[in-house]
Amino acid sequence: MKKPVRDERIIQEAMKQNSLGFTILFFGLLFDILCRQFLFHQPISSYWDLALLFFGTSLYLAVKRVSSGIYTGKVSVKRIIPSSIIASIVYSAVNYRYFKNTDLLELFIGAITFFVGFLAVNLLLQYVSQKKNKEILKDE
Amino acid sequence: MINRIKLARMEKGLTQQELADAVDVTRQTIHLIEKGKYNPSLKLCLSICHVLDKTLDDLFWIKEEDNK
Repeated sequence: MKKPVRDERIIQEAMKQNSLGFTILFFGLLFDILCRQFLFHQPISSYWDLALLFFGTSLYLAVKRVSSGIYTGKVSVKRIIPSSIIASIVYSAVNYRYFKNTDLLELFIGAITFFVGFLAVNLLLQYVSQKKNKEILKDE
Repeated sequence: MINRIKLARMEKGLTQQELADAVDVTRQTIHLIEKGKYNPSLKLCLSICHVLDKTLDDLFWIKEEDNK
């Protein structure tokens, strides 16, 4: 029997198509979860499996990207602060608008906590990635 | 990346299919490489060079503007 050809071009093309298919599914899932939560106001019990799948996949991607040293930049608090501020504002807006939380003190404490958490997680990701990159450069 | 695979293959008296079989790819891949529409991996470049008895420098080079 003739051995099947392992053509690198076909493998690459299939991987590209799989990657695009994954991206469509991933963002489709996010869109679906957001619609169910904010548009249709469904209880979380009706879509927890989708949410688990989405956040589980996101976590997997984050861990894999960091552990393979894809992020090559230096650890920098300055670079993360703007995105942390924007994320905190969005978090507070969602908290206020959709969860009807009108207590200003609670909103403020929530925003600060989210800001610190977001900053810390991003710093940790950068630190681990930098460590991995240093490991790659080691001779042995 | 530019290549002279077609010329080297003809000098050697091989068809696209024969070269494809020798380096374990499809004929379409050889066709695309010869037309400059697919950049093969280094491993495939070396396999092609081996089959055609040429060096990498003989068969592949990069356009001046791509080098900058």
